[in-house]
Amino acid sequence: MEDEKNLMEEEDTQKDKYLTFSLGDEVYGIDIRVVIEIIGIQKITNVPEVPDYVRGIINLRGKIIPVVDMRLRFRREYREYTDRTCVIVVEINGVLIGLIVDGVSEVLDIAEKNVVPPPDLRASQNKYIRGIGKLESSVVLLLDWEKLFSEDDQEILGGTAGDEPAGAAGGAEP
Amino acid sequence: MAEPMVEVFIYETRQFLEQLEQIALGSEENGGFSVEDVNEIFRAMHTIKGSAAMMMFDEVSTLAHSVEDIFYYIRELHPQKVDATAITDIVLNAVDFIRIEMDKLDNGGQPDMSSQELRDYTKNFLREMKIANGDDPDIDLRKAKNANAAKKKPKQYYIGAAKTPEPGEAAAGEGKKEEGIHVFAATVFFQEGCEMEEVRAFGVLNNLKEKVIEIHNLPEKILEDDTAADTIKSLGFRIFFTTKMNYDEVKKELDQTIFLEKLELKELNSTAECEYWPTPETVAINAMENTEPIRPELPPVTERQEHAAPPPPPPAAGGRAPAHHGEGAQMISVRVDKLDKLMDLVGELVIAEAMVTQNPDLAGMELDNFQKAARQLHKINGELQDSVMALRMVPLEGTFKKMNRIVRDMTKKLGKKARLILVGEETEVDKNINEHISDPLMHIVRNSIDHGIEMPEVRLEAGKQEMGTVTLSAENAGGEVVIKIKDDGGGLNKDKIMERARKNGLLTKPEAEYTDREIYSFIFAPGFSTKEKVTEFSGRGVGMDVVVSNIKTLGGNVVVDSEPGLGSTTTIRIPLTLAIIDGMSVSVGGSSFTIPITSISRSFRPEDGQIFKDPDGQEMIMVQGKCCPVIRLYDMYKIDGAITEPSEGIVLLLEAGEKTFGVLADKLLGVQEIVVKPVPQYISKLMNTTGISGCTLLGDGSISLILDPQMLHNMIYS
Repeated sequence: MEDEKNLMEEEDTQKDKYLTFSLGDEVYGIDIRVVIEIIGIQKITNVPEVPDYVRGIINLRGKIIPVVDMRLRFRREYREYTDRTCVIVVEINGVLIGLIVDGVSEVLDIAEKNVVPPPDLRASQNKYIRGIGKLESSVVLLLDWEKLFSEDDQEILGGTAGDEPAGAAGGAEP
Repeated sequence: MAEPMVEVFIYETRQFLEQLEQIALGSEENGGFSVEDVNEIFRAMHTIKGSAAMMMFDEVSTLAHSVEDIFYYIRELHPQKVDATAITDIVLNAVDFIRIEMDKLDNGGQPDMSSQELRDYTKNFLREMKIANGDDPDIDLRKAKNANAAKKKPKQYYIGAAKTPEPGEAAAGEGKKEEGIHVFAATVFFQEGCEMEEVRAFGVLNNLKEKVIEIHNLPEKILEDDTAADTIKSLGFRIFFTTKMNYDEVKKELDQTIFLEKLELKELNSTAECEYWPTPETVAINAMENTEPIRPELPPVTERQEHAAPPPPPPAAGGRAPAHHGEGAQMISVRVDKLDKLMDLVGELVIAEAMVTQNPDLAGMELDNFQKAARQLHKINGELQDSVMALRMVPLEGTFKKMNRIVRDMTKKLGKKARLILVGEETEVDKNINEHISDPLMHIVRNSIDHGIEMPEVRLEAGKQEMGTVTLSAENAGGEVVIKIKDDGGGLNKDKIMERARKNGLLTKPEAEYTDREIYSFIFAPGFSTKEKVTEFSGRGVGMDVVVSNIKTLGGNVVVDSEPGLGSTTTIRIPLTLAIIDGMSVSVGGSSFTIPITSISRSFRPEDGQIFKDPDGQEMIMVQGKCCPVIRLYDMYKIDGAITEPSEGIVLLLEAGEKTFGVLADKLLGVQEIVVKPVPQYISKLMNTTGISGCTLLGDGSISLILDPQMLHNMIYS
């Protein structure tokens, strides 16, 4: 009973909190509840025959986890990794995945009322964005992580994306 | 009810089921039930009944009771006309029923299936058997037993709760102490957490049964009363009895109790001093109320301990029948997930050790003492690993013996004659492997009997023995276990298989190019069956593909050989253990790959021009007069910066089954014990067939991909 209550409270404290990270000029937000930890970029072992955005696997204290370059995932230009490059380790449906991003900014509170649905442009666009969080002076694109890593998506993308691992730039469409 | 208790119950019951099945099959083979068989079955059923009743699983309990009755009848009245086969069927049906119920229970369900039909059948059978033997079908066995005992010279003297003491004895019980008869009060405390106290208490009673004149116990009803276990836990199990044994003998007897924590034994002057000593009337009433009167005529003590104590865990999942064991207390049963955890930890330790001893920071340093200590660490780690591995190793015996049942059932239904010969069943494999090998074996044995072994007439015509033979053999070969299933049936029909393969569109190259083995391997294709008629057992074409996929998950492979008219042999090769293997690491560009050392036959630097191309552009190399295809790893995995000139790199010759091929790498990094970790699911879902079976961590913390020679080979030839 007590535990349950604590858990509820914990859930509550994490509600509406987003870890923001940058990809180029955009700021994205990911639900803090799925974030396990943030680590610097480290040695990545390439894996053959996977889409280019899956950069390979890393050794996280004995656990082997896949890493995904979010730039390539969103079909941006590949950029060399620097000291600022981070890996956000998230746990989605019990699976650990590392997300390579340009840099991690901060944890923000964005109340549900300040989130607007993404503009309904083309069907294929924005499908990984759950909503747009309004801040005083800027906006944050909130990731729909469930969709991002849901299985059928992977299959579709796995089939269409090229399998040249390094340096391959996807469509530069913003 | 407490979970651990259910677990113990399931575990023990399964042990008994295994035992029952083995005895039933064995007795059928021997053409009848021996006295021991009858006793063993009776005892096993009796125990299942008792514990099931205690757990309130009435359907199981009553079924066991009805089967027990048959054996009680056989044992007591030695009927002349006994249909052993029918009885075996009854026992096996009951075993099946209970086993299904146990599975349900194990999966969190309730054993709620009705055993009414089986029970009625069993009761009717017993009735008919009694009539056939000229006995009164409604005969009360206990009375009959007493009558019998009066007729013959009774073998044992006993007085139990079930039998009303005769006046003289009762008087002796209540009156003063008689010559040579001692009165004792004992309190038995069981070890905390030993579980099923009431059953253990019941065991104590049984042990004493023959050696005492009269015995009473508190709590009174052990098996029927739900609170009995708690009472025994808190107050101990108290027994009051009269016996001819002296203090020391009694003490010795009680000290043998399994899980005994503390024993308080007091000799009293008369039964009047006992806190609890019911009069004969109460005894009789108790006996009437008691649905389960303690039968005083249970067999000798040494064998009987298994009533109360859990049979020591046989290494296999129900492997060795827990028939004879004196050292039960020295065995413990461990949950497999704990072993798995231990195995994982040892794996981590192996990696951690490599990370320390091969730490890049140490490079180039003179570290004599460090190296010495490191070697010692390595040695201990190695031993630790072996021991943990050995913990998980179980003999194939249990799995093999299960096949007896399949052979029996099938030959009976199909009207064929066949026997199963087991060879090398003591061969040990990892528990996981043992579990996963069971289904494939079952399918293959079924297939052998259904498709392989001919009908008796056909066999005789062909000049063979009427009785077909299926041989199941296992042996260690290197790091592998080789399991062969050989039958002396008609063999596989190549033409028929080919025809069906053509129909199913399975052919991928000209028919003439298929080797015999390739043709035979079609039988493992999904939905493949040459049988016109679907039987109960096989012919649906489902199953053999399961064989292959199950064995593949174990990292093994399976091939079929056949000789028309003489039979066929299915050979399964699986690695001894899955978790830690010796691997050779090689570098290719900036990446490293690891290859199981058992599949590397040699490695060498090829000379200029030693590699040539065949007309299809496939590179080949001539080694010792044999021509082997060569794969360039960097090319296959699109790795930049690797050595492209074969004479500067190194070729490793790999064996996959019967085939040999070479792979080109940059250089060898060294042999290391590697812990196989699965490729993360996220990645394995995206990867197609790549020849990579897993990954591992090297000493420097980097990740190396494990190459599977079999998969690589399939890629070359696809």
